[in-house]
Amino acid sequence: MRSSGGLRAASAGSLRVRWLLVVVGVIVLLTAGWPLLNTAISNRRMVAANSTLIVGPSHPNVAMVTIGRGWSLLADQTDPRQNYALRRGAIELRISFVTLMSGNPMAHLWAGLREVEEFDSPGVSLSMPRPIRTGQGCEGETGSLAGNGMSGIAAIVAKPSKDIAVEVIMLTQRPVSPGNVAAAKGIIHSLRFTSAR
Amino acid sequence: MTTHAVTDTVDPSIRAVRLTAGGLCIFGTAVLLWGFLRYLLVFPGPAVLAVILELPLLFVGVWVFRLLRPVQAPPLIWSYAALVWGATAAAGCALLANQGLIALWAKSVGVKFAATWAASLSAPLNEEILKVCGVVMVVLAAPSVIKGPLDGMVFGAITGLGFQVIENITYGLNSIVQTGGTDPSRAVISSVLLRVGTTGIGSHWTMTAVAGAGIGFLVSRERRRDGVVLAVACLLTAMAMHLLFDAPYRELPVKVLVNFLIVGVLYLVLRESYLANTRVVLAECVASGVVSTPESSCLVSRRVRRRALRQAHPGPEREVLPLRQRHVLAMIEVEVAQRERLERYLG
Repeated sequence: MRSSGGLRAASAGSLRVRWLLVVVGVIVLLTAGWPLLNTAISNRRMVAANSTLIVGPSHPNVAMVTIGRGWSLLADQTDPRQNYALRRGAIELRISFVTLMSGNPMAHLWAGLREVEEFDSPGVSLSMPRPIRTGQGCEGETGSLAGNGMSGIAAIVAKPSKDIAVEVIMLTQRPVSPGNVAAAKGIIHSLRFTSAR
Repeated sequence: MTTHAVTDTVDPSIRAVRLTAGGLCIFGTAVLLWGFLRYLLVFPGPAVLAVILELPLLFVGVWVFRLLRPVQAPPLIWSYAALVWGATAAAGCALLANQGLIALWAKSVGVKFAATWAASLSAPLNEEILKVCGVVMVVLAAPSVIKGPLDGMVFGAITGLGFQVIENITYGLNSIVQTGGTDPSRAVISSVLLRVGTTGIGSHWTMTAVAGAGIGFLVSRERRRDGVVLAVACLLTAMAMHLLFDAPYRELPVKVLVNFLIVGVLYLVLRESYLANTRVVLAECVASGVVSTPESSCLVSRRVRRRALRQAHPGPEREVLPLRQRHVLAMIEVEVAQRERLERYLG
């Protein structure tokens, strides 16, 4: 009786280990498999010059920017409802849609952007803001980014209704070339909302 | 009728399961910390608020799900183990799996399609499998705890609840950045009100409850073909519920209601079957003299058992009664599971 009980226990133990291996195998397949497969596919898609990118969840809560020459889209970091990640040579540019909780004054937007940048890019700090106005006439603020061997520019432009805004962040390893700065500023200047209201 | 003494001997294979599960929970925790710890450093107040606001859901949810198991609650330690799996191993591994698969969609079919459909096509596959692995781990680590579909359902609900709580926290934290950091606390509160107040009753716990019932079918039918078919059907149903929930349509109340109704109907069917079998086993115990008639009338209901304990005469009777109840209930649970197994075999 004892030996048959022992055999049953050993058989149960063996079956348990087999099931454990199956479970672990499935977990590893999902957790590591998708990311590994992801690395095999190229991430960059060239964006045609003068393309219009639409960012935002749905009309009328969307904004549009016009992209100049030489930009590529980083597909795995892009979700048109929330943000675009672009690259041009050594610079990376992020366009992010922001839903504002209430009619925040611009000072709150810049303070919020400073904290968001501290979160996204540790060691990179934001300068004091300067006012800007886009081609559509929307008010915003811009400033420079520096720290941790990186430099760039940042801007935040709010819809006049102050319910949504768009952040544009450009970062690169120092130094920033005038051409890249001009390209980023061109995107910021082209920013427009579906209605100016 | 036979009686079985059920013991959990910690043999090497069980120890291996427990260690592996623990290791995966640690791994999942590390992944979550890597992804979200920075919120605590940059937005400490709102980050702590996001956690605190989920605690009532966590405690009430575990209490309710354990209460919904008829006759007696599942063991507390394994309930917490399932909760921790959902909150750590499943959530952390799902974060990596989803990032990988969603990025694949974006690269292969375009960002526009991916923005609308990638989450719906990724999360149901990755998350339901990772969550239900927690129920399987409980089966492997504590062989006598999950005996049938009702047990599987309860443990699935608890696992899904752990996952849901962590997901709610991460969504709350993400909303801080999505609102430009302008009002972090308000962003967190808005997120909680949406996810707990509006979608909570039809979210992850419902899906994993259904998938967990499938694991319970697999256990009760000892991996026979009908058990495998039911397990697969339950997992696919859970994935379909998840796909519906994530699909880009605006009728959120409908999605939530459908998921809640599916799990509610399944629960009522399983509960009725379990109680019917319990009553039959109890009658057999009375007929064979193992349990007295007065004793049998107070065993099935928790409330009546507690009243019997309060009304017991002070002294040895009151001291022995709790042990007696636990012993008899353990025996009945085993017989109910055996009855289900034999019925299917004979059927």
